[in-house]
Amino acid sequence: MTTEPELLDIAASELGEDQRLGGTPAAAAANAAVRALSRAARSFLIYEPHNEAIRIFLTAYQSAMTEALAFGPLDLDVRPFELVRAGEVVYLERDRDRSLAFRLFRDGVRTLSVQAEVPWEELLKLLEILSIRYTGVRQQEDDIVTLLWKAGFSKITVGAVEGFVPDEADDAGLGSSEVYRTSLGHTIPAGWDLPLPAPLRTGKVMYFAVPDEHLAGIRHEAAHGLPSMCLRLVRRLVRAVHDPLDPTALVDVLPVVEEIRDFFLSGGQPHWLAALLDILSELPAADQDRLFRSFADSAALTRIVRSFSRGVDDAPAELTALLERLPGDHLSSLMRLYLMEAQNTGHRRVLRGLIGHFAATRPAPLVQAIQAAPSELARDLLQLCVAIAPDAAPAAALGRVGDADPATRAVVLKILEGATSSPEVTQGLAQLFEESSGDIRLQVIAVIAARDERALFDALAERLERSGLAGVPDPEAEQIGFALAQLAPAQAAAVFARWLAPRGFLGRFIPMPGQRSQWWGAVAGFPLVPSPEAEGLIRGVLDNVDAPFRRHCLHALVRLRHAAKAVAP
Amino acid sequence: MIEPVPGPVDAIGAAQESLGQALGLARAGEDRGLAAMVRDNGERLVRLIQGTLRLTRTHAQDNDAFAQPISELVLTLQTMSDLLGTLNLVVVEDLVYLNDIRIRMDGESSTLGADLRRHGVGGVSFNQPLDAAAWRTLVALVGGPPATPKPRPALQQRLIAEGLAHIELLGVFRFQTANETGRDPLGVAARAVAVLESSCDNLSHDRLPNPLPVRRLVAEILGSGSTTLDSGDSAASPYATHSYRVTQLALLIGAGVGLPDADMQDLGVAAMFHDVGYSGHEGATRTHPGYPPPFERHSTAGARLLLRQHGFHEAKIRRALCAVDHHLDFDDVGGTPSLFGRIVRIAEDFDNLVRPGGGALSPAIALGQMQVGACTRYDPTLFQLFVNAVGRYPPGTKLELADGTQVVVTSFARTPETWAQPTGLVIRGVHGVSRAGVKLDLARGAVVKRVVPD
Repeated sequence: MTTEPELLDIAASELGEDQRLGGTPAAAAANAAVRALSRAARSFLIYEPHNEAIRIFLTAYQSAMTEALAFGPLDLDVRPFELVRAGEVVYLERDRDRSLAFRLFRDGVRTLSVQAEVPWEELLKLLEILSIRYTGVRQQEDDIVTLLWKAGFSKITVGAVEGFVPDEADDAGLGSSEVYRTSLGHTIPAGWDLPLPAPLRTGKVMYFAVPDEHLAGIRHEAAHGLPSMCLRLVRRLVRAVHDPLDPTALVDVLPVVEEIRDFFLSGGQPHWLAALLDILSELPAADQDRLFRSFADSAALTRIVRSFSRGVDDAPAELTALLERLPGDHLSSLMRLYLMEAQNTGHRRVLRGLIGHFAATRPAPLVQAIQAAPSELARDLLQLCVAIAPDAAPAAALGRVGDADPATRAVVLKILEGATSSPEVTQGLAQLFEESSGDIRLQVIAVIAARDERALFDALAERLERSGLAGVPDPEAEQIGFALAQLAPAQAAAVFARWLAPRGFLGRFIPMPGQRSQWWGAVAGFPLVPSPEAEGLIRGVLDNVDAPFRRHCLHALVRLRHAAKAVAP
Repeated sequence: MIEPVPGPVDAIGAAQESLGQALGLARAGEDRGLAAMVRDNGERLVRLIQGTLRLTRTHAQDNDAFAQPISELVLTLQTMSDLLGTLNLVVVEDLVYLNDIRIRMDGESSTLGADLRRHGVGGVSFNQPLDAAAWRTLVALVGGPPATPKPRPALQQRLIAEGLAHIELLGVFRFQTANETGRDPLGVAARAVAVLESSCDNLSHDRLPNPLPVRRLVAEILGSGSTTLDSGDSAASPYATHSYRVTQLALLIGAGVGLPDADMQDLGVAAMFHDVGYSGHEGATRTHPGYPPPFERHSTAGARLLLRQHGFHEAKIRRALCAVDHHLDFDDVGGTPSLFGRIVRIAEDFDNLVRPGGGALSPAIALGQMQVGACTRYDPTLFQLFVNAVGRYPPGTKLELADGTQVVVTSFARTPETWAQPTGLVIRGVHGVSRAGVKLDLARGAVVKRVVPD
C-alpha cells in the first residue's frame, strides 16, 4: 500500500513541481498555498477527477491555504510570471505551460485576494475555474473573466480585466466608425413583433411590495430548473417539428436533444431521461428508433454507468427500467463496458447489476464475455451467471477450465460440481484435474468422486502410476485412493492389490521409485473396498516404510477391522 | 500512475465530485471544432500579418516574396469570414483577440500591436474577405510611415481612397478592470446595440452564433449600473434598439427577483437575443434567399438559430427557451412558460406598446393596459416587480403637472415612497416661460395632473 506522501511524490513528479521559494514565514506559506493551488489545478490534466491523486492534491491545497491564511489575507498581485504578496515574490514559474501566474495574467487577472475567513466552497470554486482553463476547455459561452464574475465570490476578490475598452485618449472605439456599418434593414421584416396583443381595458397600477417568499420560489426555479427547462425546450421544439406550418425539422432539433441527453446521462438521474423519452415518443416511429438507440450506445452507457455509480451498490431499478425502454443490444454493450471499466469497483457493481438484469433471459453474451474476460472479471461474471442463469453457468465455466488463476478454477470447479452430467463436464473435470495443483486438485478429485465420474477412473489411477520418481503428495495420493474406491470398488480393489503386490526381491522391502504414491493411495482406499487380501497386502508394506506411512497403514488396518465387524453377522 | 479509487465519502470526496462534474459540464459546453478553428486560423492570420508587415521593411511592395503569405492571408481570412462574419482583430497589451477570443501565440509575443500602434491603431475590423490586391494595399499602408498628427484617421482615409472602406481601423484599446468606475452608460449601450446588430447580421448569414461578445457587454451593462433605456445610438436600427430596451427592462425585473450575478448575465444575453428569429430565413432555395419568418414563427426560428451553437450550456438552453417562450401567456395551456420567457414577455410587450412602429402608447398608459393581463398574460409576481421598478410613470411618459408644465419622465422608480414621483425634464413651460430641458424632481411638491397621450 502506497502512503499519502509517497503518492504525493509520485503525482508531483508526473505533474512537475513549481519552484519552492523562501522569504518570510508568511511568504513561504503563501508560496506553499499557491503551489498547491497550481498543482491541484494542473492535476486534472492527467488524472480523472476520482483519482486518489486528486484527493491528495485537494487535501494539500486545503491545508496549505489554511496555513497561509493564518498570516492574514492572501493579497496577490499577478505579474506575467510571478505572484507578489506584500512586495515579496511568492510564486515564480517561467515555464508558460505550467505557470499559474502566466495563465492568470494572460486571462486578464491582475489581482487576486483571498480573505482569511474564506469558506472552502469558494476556494474550491476558484480551483474549478482555474482547472477548466488548465485542462484547455475553451468555452464559447464563458471565458475566465465571465466565469470569475459569475462565481459570485464573497471572500475572494479578483481584479480582472473585464474586456477591452477604447483608451480614453483615443477618439474612437469598437464599432464607432461611421465608415462602414453593418446594416440589418434588409433582414428584419417591416412588421416585426406585430400584431400587438389585443388591447385590454386599463387597470389601476399600484406599488405593492412583493413578499420574499414569492421571490424565493422564483429564485429556486432559476437555480434548480435546468432539467425542467431542458425538457420544456425539447417539448416546444418537438411541437414545432409536428407543426406543418413551421419549418423546424428534426434535423434542427437533434443536436440539442443529444446534448440534453448527455447532460441527463452525466447527471445520474434516470427519471429525467425517462421524461425526455416520453416527450420524444411523440416523434414518428422511425425517428424515435434512430434517436433512442443513441440513448444507449457505448458512449451513452459509459456516461450512465459513471454517473450512476456514485454511492450506489447496484444498478438502480429506475435505470434498468429506462434501459428496458430503449432499443439496442444493451447486454453486449454492457459486457464490453464491463471489461473496460474493470478497474473501478463502483462502476463494476452497477454494471454487474445491469448485466444481471439483461442476461437473465439471454445469457449467451454473458457466457461469451466470460471467455474473453481476464481472470478476476471472469470469476465475477461466473458467479453472476450462477446467480441469474444457472443453466448457462456450466457452459461458461467449461470455457475457463484452463484458467491459470487458482481462484477462478475454484469457481469453475464449484459450478461443475453441480452441473448435469455430460461428456463436456467430464472432460472439463479431467482437464481441471490434469492442470490443477495443490488444494484445487484435491477438490477436483473429491468432486470427481462425488459426481461418480467413472470415466475418469483410469485418469486418476494413471496419475499415481505415472507420477515418476517424485511421486505425488501423500494427501493427493490418499484422495485418489478414496476416489478410486468410490468410483469403482471392484476395479479399485484390483488396482490396489496390483499396486501393493511385491515387485521383485527388493520390492518386498522398500517401495520402488514412484511406488510410494501408489502404496499410499492403495492403503487409503482399501478399507473402502474390503477384500480378503487387503490386510495382508497392507501388512506387507508396513515394515518397509517410514513412520508417517506406518501410521497411515495402521490407521487403514483399523478401518479394515471396523469394516469387517460391520459386515460380520 | 496512481490507481483510481471508488467514490467519495467526505468533504474532499465531495469536492472531487463537484470538480469532476464542473469539468464535465465545461467540456460538454465546448465546441472543440470551432475553438480549434478559431485558435488555429486566428494564430495563422496574426502570424501572417506580422510576417508580411516585417517583409515591408526589407522588400519592395511588388517583390515576389509577398506572393505566398498574401495568398495564404486571402485564404485564411476567407475561411474565418465564412464562419464568423465580421472579424474584429484587437491587440491589447500585446495580447491578441479575434472576436473577443484570445488568440494564443505559443512561445512568442505578438509584434502586431507595435506595428499598429505606430498609426494609433489598436485593431482592425474586416467586414468582408480581402483579395490579394487589397491585402497588398493594406500591408503597404500599415507597413509604411504613419502620418502626423492624426495617423489613424489619415490611414483610414487612405484605405477609403483605395476602395477599402470595409476595412475599419479601431482605436487603441486598454484593458478594463473589474469594478472600474466612470463608465459611460450611453457608450456601453451604443456598443451593446452595435454588437447585437453584428451578431444578428452574422446569424442571418448562416454563421454560427457567438454569444461571448454579447455576454461581455451584458456584464458591462450590469457592471455600469446603467438602467437607461436610451440606446445611445441614433443611427441604430429600431429592432436593435428594441432588443436593447427589452434587455434593460428584463434586467430590472431580474434585479427585483434578486437573481444571482450568473443568472442576471444569462438573462441579459437571452433578452438581447429574444427576437433573433427575425434574422433567419424561411423558404430559401438555390435561387431565392428566402424571407424572414413572420411574427407567428419568429420564436421557433430564433431557437433554431441559437441552437446552432454547439455544445451544452445552461445559458444556451435558457436563451433558446426564452426565444420560444417569450410570447406565451402565463396561463398557456402548454404549461407555465420558462422564467426568462415570462420576464421577457413583460419587457417585450411593454416596449412594443410604447415604441414607435408598435403601439406608440404613453408608457404610463401601456403599463395600465398591461396591468389587467397580470395572472393571464403575465406572471403576477414578476409583473408587480416590473411595476415597482419602472414606477407609476415609466421613463418616456409625458406628464402635465398641476401648474400646466409638461415634463417627460427620465427615471425609473427610485424608492417605494417616490414610486409615483419620478424625475423628469421639462418639455413645455407655462405662461410663456421656456423651461425646456430643466430637470424636475416630482417628489419635491409637483402634482401630476394627467398623462399626456403620445
